[in-house]
Amino acid sequence: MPSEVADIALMTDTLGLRNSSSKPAALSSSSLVERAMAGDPAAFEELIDCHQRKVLSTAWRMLGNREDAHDAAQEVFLRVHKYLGGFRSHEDFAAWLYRIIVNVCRDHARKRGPRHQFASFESEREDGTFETLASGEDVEANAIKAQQRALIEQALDTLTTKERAAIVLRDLEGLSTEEVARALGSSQTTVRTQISSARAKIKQYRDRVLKRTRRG
Amino acid sequence: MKCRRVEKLIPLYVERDLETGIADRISSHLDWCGRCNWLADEYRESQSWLRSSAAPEFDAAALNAFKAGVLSRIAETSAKPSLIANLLQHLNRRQVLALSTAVLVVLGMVVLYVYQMRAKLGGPTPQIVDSRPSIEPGPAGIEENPREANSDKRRDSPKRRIYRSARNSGNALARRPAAQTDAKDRAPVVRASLSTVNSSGFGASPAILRIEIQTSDPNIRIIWFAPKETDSHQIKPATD
Repeated sequence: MPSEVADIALMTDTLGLRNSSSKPAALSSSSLVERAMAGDPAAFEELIDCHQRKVLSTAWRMLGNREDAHDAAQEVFLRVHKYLGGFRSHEDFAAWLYRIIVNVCRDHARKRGPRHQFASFESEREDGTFETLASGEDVEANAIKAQQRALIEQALDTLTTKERAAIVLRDLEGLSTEEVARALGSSQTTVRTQISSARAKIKQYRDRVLKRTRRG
Repeated sequence: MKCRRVEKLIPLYVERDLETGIADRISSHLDWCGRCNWLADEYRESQSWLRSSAAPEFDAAALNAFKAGVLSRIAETSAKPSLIANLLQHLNRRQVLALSTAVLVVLGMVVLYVYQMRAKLGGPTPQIVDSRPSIEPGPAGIEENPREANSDKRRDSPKRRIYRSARNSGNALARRPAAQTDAKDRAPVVRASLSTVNSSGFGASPAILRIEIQTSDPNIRIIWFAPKETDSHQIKPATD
């Protein structure tokens, strides 16, 4: 039963994030948050169920590997638990959560230092990262997908931390420029500049890869 | 709009991140400019390539393990919450603000009270003493090297004298009862004596004025010499 509730809440929350006009989604999410704020542990667990996929995937896209993403996502929920008392219930919880994700990933990237070389598909398959994908029928298609994902991650690796955060939130998570600006704590103009620069760098990287492929 | 400007804005144009007016101008430019149009297509392809990466997938077991990890870490951290953290958890921002303001006010009142009490008791506040010497004629002293006297004079500049006497009075205050200190501190700290020294120690130089100053510290006495003004100092007109 709780997992069903979590799934429904996840769906409604996703809708709420993409379309702020959907009132019921916002209401269900806010009531859950209010219960968690009141100290209800079950509500907090539901909150984790609702948002853990999103937090994990965003952290993964920002940090570029599974282990770091896992650690960062745990830290995100620890901070949510710690600072939930300071959250104003009339605010957008998803925006607040994104702000925490961005800050935690930034801290994590700073602590980690220079980025690791992105893990190859083979190594990730050995680790069991792509277990779900590899269990499918078309292994070859999955391998191509994973390779493409690795290339995209490498392209994202060419960006600065701020550019990466901006492009992940805007283009991959589908937030509006205004929401990205709020999450990053900067102006919309700054976000647009970062996004523009990031898109240009990604295009450059893709062009290089395509040239190499044609030559090879 | 020129191609150079359009090229800069195309990364934003392809994802509709521009204002309507600017986007319309770029659209009309792309209608006739083949090169910019080609660039816009390139960007669109690049963006669709970027989006082709599906979100990382997590199976139910991995998610359950993750959730269990989070909850155990929360249990670890919340096992021993500090008093302040515990208090803050139960208060909202306004209450925290009100509480901190109240603490500040109480702290300020305590500081004010302590300050007033110390002022009433005549606490060790620095006093500026009258450093003007009261010149008294004294017995002729021992002859001293004028150089030493000069160095003493330099060492005992008025500022240093004030500082030293203030420090001494402060030390004395720590040892003496309040009533006694009041009477002594009000008394002039520096006493001086004036005498004339024979010129025998200085060759053929005229008589020297010896000024002796006794500071509040019995170990410190300031002595300096000055040439006495005599008629011999006056310039006499040359005579045959």
